Amino acid sequence: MDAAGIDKVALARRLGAESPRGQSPFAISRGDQFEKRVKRDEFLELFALLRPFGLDPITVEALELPDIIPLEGSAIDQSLTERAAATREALRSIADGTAPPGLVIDKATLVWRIGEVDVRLETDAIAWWVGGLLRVVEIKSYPIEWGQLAADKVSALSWQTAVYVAAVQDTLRDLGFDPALVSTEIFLVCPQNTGLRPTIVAHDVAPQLRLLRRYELREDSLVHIASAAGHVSLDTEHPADAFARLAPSYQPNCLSTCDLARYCRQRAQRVGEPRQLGSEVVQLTIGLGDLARAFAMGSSGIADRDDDAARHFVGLIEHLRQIEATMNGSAP
Amino acid sequence: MTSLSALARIRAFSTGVAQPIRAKRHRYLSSHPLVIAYVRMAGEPFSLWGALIGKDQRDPQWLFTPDPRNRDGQSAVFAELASILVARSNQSMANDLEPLQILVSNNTAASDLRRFGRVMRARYITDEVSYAGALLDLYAQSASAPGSALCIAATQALSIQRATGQSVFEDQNLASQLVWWTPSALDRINGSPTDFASTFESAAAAEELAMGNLTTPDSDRLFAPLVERYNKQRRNDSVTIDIEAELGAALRSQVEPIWNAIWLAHELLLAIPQARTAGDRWADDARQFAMQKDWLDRGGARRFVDSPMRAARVLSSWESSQADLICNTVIDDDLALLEVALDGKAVVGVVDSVTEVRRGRVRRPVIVLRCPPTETAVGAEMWLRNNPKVEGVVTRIVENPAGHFVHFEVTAGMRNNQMPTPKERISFIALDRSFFRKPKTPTEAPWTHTSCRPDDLQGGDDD
Repeated sequence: MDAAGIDKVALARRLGAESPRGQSPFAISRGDQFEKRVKRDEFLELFALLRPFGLDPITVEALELPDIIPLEGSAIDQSLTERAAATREALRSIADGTAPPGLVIDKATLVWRIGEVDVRLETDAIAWWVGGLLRVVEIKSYPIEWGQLAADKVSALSWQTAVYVAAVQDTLRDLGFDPALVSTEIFLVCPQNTGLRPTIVAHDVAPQLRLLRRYELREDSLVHIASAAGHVSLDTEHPADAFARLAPSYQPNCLSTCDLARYCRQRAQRVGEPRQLGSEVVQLTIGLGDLARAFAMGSSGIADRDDDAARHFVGLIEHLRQIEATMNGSAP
Repeated sequence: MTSLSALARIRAFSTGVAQPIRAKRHRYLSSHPLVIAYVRMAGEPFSLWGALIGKDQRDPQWLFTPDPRNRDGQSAVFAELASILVARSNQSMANDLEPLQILVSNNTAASDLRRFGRVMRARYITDEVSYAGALLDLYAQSASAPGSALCIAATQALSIQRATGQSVFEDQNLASQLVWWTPSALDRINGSPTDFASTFESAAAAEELAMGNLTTPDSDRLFAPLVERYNKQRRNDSVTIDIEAELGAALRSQVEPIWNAIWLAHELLLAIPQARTAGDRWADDARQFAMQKDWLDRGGARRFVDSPMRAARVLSSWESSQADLICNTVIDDDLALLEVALDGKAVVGVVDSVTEVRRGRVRRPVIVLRCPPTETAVGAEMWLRNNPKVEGVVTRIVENPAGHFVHFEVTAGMRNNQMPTPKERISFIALDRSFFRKPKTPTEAPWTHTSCRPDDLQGGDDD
């Protein structure tokens, strides 16, 4: 769906199961405030943070795409396309050696092709050259607290930036240069401790990048989903039927990432899909199909069919009853 | 999760009612803990925006600052929080001779106490605020310590007792977990009668409420213009009383459901009988707390980040408390015994006979247990549930038309007068007790574990 560029919020609304999501205006304003701070006074703080890693302090300059190509309300799409073209040109000049040794591309915009779909990605910045390589810079407004960052945050930003690195690699390859020019080690810029003073850490996203490339090899399934999703346009009269054709595989952590999760959950509850209760329930009910069947066999203690899954499940229930009976003193 | 809890989840899913997986409550619960229900501002991880705090549901104190991004207003709230915390803590030590127990909504709320503890120390406000910050840090750390009852996250305490028909992920929302416990939960939390066709629907409605440490994004869209108006009036030096009252009331309406939900959880948990050894663990808590508090009272500092040595010691002590908790839970709680027996880690049976076997010059008792079919194998080392000192090993398993018989040869801890008698119901447990032996830690941290940057160790604040 994401690949097909479908508006999931609107679809969820039409399906009658909107998620109470969206970002708080306070969170957005903090993010903006911090990014502005890092980039204020002609990137003073960002340059200072990058210098110890080898950014040349004398020739450094910033290619400020937001100033050169501002995002106009009605023509955002057009502006982003122009930014992507400008980024591509900048990458070319860096790779062929005509660019100065210090260049930070602000809001570098990349085009990345998954399957047959072009996806546009907006990075916070790409820096050249830092220790001889191109580096992706990601600015986040959550703090690194006394040298520590929560694991879920690290994981999310690793995936996000691995996609950027992959896109830069592909662009370089496309232009006929060595994709190894971009480092898999990205820079993360975050506020330090309790205030807004920025700090920087280098983080290697090579493992995520490798997995990403493996997924790409199996991009067929993605294309399949994308083309199937193409039929679920918002004009469809029966979005629920169209959606069901996609065979959504809901699991609890969808709730934190997907706007359609609530709809999928209602559906999972209706059909008694075991996965909604977590992996242990899935293991226990392997081969049983749905939760109603498991519950019925659990209550009666009788296998409704003569298959391995049913026998195994009923065996467990029988075992439970025997232990209970022994504990209560009612065993034969 | 185990087979028992997975089965309980399936049953809860099908019946719409949470299913017990424990018969007892294994953590001490005060009848009047200090409940802290609060929200911070989204995007501001170190902020305290509004809080209801108190030991009596009908008499909370309301702490609030219109915009926590304003340092002075935020410091005033931290000072208020500090004075409540210090007063309550001292009062509890003096009157009840026990530490103050803190109850919050969920794990995120508990770990945020640590952030408050850090910011209260990093921005030097007053000595009392720094001291209270160190206390909060202590509470936040004990929230992750197995079996500790100093700081309890309501969602976690509830999910230990009963399985709901939703996932662990959804259980993190206190209101949505509570609707599985009692159909009237939402009425109690929201104060307005509600009528839903199914528990799924009331759980989905419960998710609309702010229940952790954040206001909902939807309500933030309403608060944002109010905060902006407040800041504008303040900059113009005009009177801000009206806008403060309006914003305060709006914010309080978000915190009140959290406050009610925590007290409802408290009531439900208090109704569950307390396990035998919960008192011992609370006594351990009190000892630990007194020691740490004593150190702080004498002017001792608490590091912002544990030294590697201390971190290793804390981890090791948590591992042994965890093992201790698991073993005692199985001893004290029949449902916990059922759980481990179902997963093949315990044998429950009736004594068939007690004989003896000669091993060289010693004679050892052999207890023959008639029991349901079991996954336990010959050679398994186990201990006796009603007398954990007694250790032994399974030497034979016999299956015949009369039933299953496990031969259990006692190797240690049995006295003659403690011999079980035929027809007695006993159980053997195979849970690992080796964690009771504390590992040795080196006296100095190896070089791989040193070299934190110096600013990681103290509270370097921004400009």
